[in-house]
Amino acid sequence: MRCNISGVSCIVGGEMRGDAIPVSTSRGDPVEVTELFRREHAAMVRLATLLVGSSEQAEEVVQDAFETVDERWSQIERPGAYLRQVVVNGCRGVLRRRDVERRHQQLALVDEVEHLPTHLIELHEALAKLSERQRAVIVLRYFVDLPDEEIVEILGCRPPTVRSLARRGLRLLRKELQ
Amino acid sequence: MTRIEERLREDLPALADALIAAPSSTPARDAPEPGTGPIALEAARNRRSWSTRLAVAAAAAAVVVVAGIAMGAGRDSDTALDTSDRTAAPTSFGVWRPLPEAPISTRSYPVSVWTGTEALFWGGSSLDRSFAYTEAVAYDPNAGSWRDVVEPGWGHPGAKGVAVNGELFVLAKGSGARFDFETEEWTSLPPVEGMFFTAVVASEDTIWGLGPVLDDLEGQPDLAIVRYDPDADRWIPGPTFEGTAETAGIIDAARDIDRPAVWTGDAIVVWDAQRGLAFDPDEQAWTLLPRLVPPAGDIVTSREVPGTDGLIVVAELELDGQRTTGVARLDAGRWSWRATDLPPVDLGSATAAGAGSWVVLLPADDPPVTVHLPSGAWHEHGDAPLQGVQGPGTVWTGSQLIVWGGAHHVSSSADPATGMAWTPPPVNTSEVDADGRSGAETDRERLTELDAQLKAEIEAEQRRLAERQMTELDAQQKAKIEAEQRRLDERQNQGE
Repeated sequence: MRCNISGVSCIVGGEMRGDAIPVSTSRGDPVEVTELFRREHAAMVRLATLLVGSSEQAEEVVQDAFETVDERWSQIERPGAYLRQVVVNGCRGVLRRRDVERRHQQLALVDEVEHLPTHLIELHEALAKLSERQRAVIVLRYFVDLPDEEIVEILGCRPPTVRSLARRGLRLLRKELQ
Repeated sequence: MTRIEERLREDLPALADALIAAPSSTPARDAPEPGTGPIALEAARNRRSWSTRLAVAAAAAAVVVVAGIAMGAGRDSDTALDTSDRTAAPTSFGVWRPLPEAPISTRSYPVSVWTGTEALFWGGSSLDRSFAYTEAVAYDPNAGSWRDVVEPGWGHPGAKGVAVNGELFVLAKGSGARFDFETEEWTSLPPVEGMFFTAVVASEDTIWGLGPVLDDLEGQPDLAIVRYDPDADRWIPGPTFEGTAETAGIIDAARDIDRPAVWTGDAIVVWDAQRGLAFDPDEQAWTLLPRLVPPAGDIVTSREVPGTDGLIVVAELELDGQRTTGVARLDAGRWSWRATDLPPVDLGSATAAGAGSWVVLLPADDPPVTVHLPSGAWHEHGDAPLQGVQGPGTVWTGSQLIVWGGAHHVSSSADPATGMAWTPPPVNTSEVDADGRSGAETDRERLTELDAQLKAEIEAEQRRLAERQMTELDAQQKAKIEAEQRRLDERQNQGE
């Protein structure tokens, strides 16, 4: 028998993947966390801006996400991936809150996008018509360029669901942008 | 890649940069009150600002944000997040067990589908496809038993079949039949015109047949596609793909009854060696898929894997005279290699099947190999009941892979089984944090927290609204009282 993983009834050892997550509640090393911030802040703000349609709300979500990552640094195996997950979840919360507030007619969204080129305004408005999960899948696939397996992890759903969300999202966008 | 996908890849980065550079686009309630704008915004930011020890980093990051915007449109490919991260490898690779003997003799290439409760096998042929069988049997994995199923009375060595909406559709040459799982009745399908079937695919709830165009004598071979309309009981032609020199190999592969076409969830794909054609049913358009390129060495040949989410391809690789097997996946127009170091497998005689997040390779002369797609980990099962099988039928039930039939070259016991079943290890779907909570649990807690916040905000707003209403009522009441007092005073004055 052969395999590429050690310790699994195999003769040949291989690289071990998936180390155990150490138990600790301390914050991260400032140098490491700062480096993550420097490296990822711009990309996370761009991601969050596309998800919520507002750069100011995006900044708040991203700041909250970095706080969370900092607090749980020593518990996290992949800080970059975890950060992205927290950002996406934060954005989805903003969108859900916005939908509820709209239904209660307590909020009139002001989108100051008149200065944008027409084709970007159209895209912005079309994205706003997607559900928050459809929007997340579309942005993660076509902006962040993530494979579906990683989108599954971020959204906590099954692969067929990701594909279905993408298909429906693309169908709606195609119809809106025709 | 479709036109809409191309537009998204091109315009999403530009939209992100434009929104970041735009004036504030916040909801109205977050807009600062007149005269206190900058102070209110700064106060809001301070509530969520970095802890003091990272304040310097925040200032430095402002430079990064500006630089990010200056880089402008284009892909967000400069993110330092490692998108090739793999999930943790499984700690085991599942178990194999033999199946009880079926009531019919084994045969190769049977049509094999899951009915929802049974693995149904119909037809099949001799290994060289010179002779066709007509019988059908079904295996119930819960009961561990077989039963005979009524047959349609015909067979064809090149018949293909898929299950959709509670029925099995089988196509061969220019026609076929459908079998209702509930009534267990066979009904003939109408003949198709202008083509003959070499592949059948189910996309969600639609049946598609593919194959060569009849009397296609000039130029490069073309590939026809038709859709079955159950209401009209007829085949509706789709756009024929007109072959070119570049696509000749792909269309030849599509004409080969040994090659399946696959449904990836987005498109119907026919594949050959390193290229493929994709048909999008929504756009009714064919596109050429990106070429599959190995990380090193050359691709000798490759095959698509049926029954997977997305397009998975197994490839024979050669580097410096050494052969290995690789598994690659196509996601949103980009290939990623999940593994490149599997033992060499002759794909011409092997069978590959999708099984959830796994691919199972069944070589003709070697033990089966299971590949865990999320981690790229693989394992060769020297303990499987069948150590080499060619042309079996395979059925993924959702929890186990049933393998039956085919020519059995090698067995691990003196009493060879005619089939075997593989059960993957339990799925570990979430990371666990230091408190022992899964990612899903953390998300649920976060949602509950968000819901509570939202509820508190709505209640606060309702209280403010109620207070305003009370103030208005008080003002109205006060005005009434004052008016009444004035009338009283007037009457008194008149009385005096």
